[in-house]
Amino acid sequence: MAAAGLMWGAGLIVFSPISCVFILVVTRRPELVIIAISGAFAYLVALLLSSALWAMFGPVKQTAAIMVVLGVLCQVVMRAVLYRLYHRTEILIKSANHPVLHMPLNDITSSLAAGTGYGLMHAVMIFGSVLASGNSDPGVLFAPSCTRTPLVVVLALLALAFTMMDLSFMALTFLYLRRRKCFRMGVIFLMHSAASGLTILNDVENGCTMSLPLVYVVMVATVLVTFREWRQLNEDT
Amino acid sequence: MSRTSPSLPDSLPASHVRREPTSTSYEGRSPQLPLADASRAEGLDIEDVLYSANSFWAVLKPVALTMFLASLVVVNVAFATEDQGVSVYAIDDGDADGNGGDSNSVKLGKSLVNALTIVGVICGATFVVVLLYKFRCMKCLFGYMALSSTMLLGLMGGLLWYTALIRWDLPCDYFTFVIVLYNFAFVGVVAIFYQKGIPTWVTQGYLVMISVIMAWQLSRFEEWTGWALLVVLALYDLCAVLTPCGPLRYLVGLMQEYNEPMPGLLYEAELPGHARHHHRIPPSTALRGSERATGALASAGSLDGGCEGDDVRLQAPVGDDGAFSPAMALGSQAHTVHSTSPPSPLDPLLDGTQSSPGGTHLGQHHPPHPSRSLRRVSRSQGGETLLEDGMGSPVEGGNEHGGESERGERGESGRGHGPSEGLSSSSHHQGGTPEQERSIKLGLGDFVFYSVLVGKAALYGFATCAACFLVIIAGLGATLVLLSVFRKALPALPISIGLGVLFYLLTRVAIIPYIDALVSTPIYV
Repeated sequence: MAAAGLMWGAGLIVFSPISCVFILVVTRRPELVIIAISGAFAYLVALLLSSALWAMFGPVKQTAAIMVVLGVLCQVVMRAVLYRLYHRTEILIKSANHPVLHMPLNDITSSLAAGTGYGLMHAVMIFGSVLASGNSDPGVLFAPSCTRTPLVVVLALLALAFTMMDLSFMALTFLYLRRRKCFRMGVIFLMHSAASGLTILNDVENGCTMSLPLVYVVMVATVLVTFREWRQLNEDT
Repeated sequence: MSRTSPSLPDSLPASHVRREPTSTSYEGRSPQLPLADASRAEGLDIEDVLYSANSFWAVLKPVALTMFLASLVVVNVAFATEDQGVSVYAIDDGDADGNGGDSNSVKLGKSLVNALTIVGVICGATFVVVLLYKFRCMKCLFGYMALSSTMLLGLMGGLLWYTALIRWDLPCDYFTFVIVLYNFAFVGVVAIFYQKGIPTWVTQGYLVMISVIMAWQLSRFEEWTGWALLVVLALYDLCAVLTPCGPLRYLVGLMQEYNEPMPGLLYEAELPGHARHHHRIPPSTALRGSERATGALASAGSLDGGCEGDDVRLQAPVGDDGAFSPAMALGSQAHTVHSTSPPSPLDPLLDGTQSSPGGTHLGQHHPPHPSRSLRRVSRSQGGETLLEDGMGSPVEGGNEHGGESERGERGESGRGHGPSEGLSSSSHHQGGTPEQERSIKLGLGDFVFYSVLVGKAALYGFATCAACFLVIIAGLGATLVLLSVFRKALPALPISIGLGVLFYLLTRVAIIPYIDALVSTPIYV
């Protein structure tokens, strides 16, 4: 029973906030649900690309830095592709020019919906695999990265930070690409790489004592940067 | 037990949606239509998009719930050892089970033989249904469907329950077991086929449970056979809908000729209120409705193998509040519609079979354009009628589901449309009656086979299950988009199942090892 409580607790840590955003924001409008599904699919394709690249690089497969850089690159590219698809659909719909109906979408809710789908899929694929595998075993898995905390809890805390960052990164993607500031996508790449790179510290014994707080610092910084950029760029336009 | 699985291979969830090319048929429409035409010429129609989005969301909820429940049931309710319960359907099941000596290519060959046999039976059953429909043996079809649904709920549901009792070591006396199953089965059949006085959620719950039970049964095939069956079914669906010699096309023609509904298992999903009251009638929608209906019909037929013959679809659309109107007795959508709408000049065409041609709807609100009315009626025979009828209800248990999906497509386009969409959906309503516009129908075949795919993916691991779940939903959305683009009958299975199988393999081969490597540290990318 302890293990069941642990699994439920870890699952709720990760999925509660993003599910609340999903239920309260995304499910209110079916167009946002479609955008969220597209976001989730974008993450799946990014994961597929990064795993294919990882499989191709034989000798360097074990290098964590390569995995991080390739993975982050694939995700940044897929976020941009998602925005591009959204933008083209928006153009198609706006060309209809209906006298009464308007497509009830704006960048904030659309990016939030896309980020929610993306973050949920991100959490489900990486954290969900561990959560589901843990259910079948009577014991609790620990890793050297955190000798006193179960692996599932460490991953849950990481996944929570990354779901919040996924929301921010998607919002920034929409913001930058809408205003054609493509080079600023490098900011997203750097922040994502910083957060993922910090998790490499988990390789060290009890490295989670360093990596977890630092990842949360990056998460808070990302959210603050997102708010600041939105306000600044919206004032400029 | 095996006798109850006639539905096994029969239900092919083919949702065919068919669109007919719209051309200049819309001249002389109401002033709003030219705008729609213009907008369509330039890009997407907003009403279409909004309606499609609402339809997709309305259909997505039950599909997602069914897939989720089916994956839970498939993973958790299973015998510890490979059970041979479904071996009767497979020719080489014993060998393909993996005696250890077979190479992968031999296993693949044997599983293909199994799959082709099953799909062959489905195809044969489809022709039987077509013949029954051709010779108007509606009572026979209805009786068979009711019987197979009872057997499915009672016997296969009982097997599921029994397996769960053994697996989880739960106590249950035989007397309770029999009494509860008996009631479960008969209430289920009454809820699905009769629907009077039964709340909508009960009917919908039973439809979901039928799908879950069917999916659980089908997923018990050994691995290679199960996946081969899915692939072959998707290909069969593709052929049955898109090729001129497919039984579904013939069935569609028959339905156009006879204008009679078919019995079937159809899931009726309510559209939200704001999606219902459109007053503009987008031509695209109209086409979609008819096309879908046709497609659904076609698909229904193909899937079920015999569902096509299920013209006597018993689905009585249930209104929002579950209120049953006498007009709905035949379960035709048209009935539902008509029950609330004032009779239109074209009502006599509907008759009971619903095929309410779009003209009917038009007649209500706009003076029907002659060409359009004609077009509509003809389309309605193929399409709108299908919509109304909710074609594609599978005859056999399984097939029904297949057909259902197609119907769903049709119904979707037809039923779900608001007044504005009335054109397409033919009869949808006379004027945008609330009942007409407010629901979409989807055949159970799609539910079943999507759930089988997700269940088999879940048997391997969670990541494959999650990836297939998402990809199937994306495939369903893509099918709806393609439907609006190509405007002709399209099967609903191939895209979702093709993507599902592809992503299952890719996830299993590439993604899972990558995630295992990430999580071992753990690194989070």
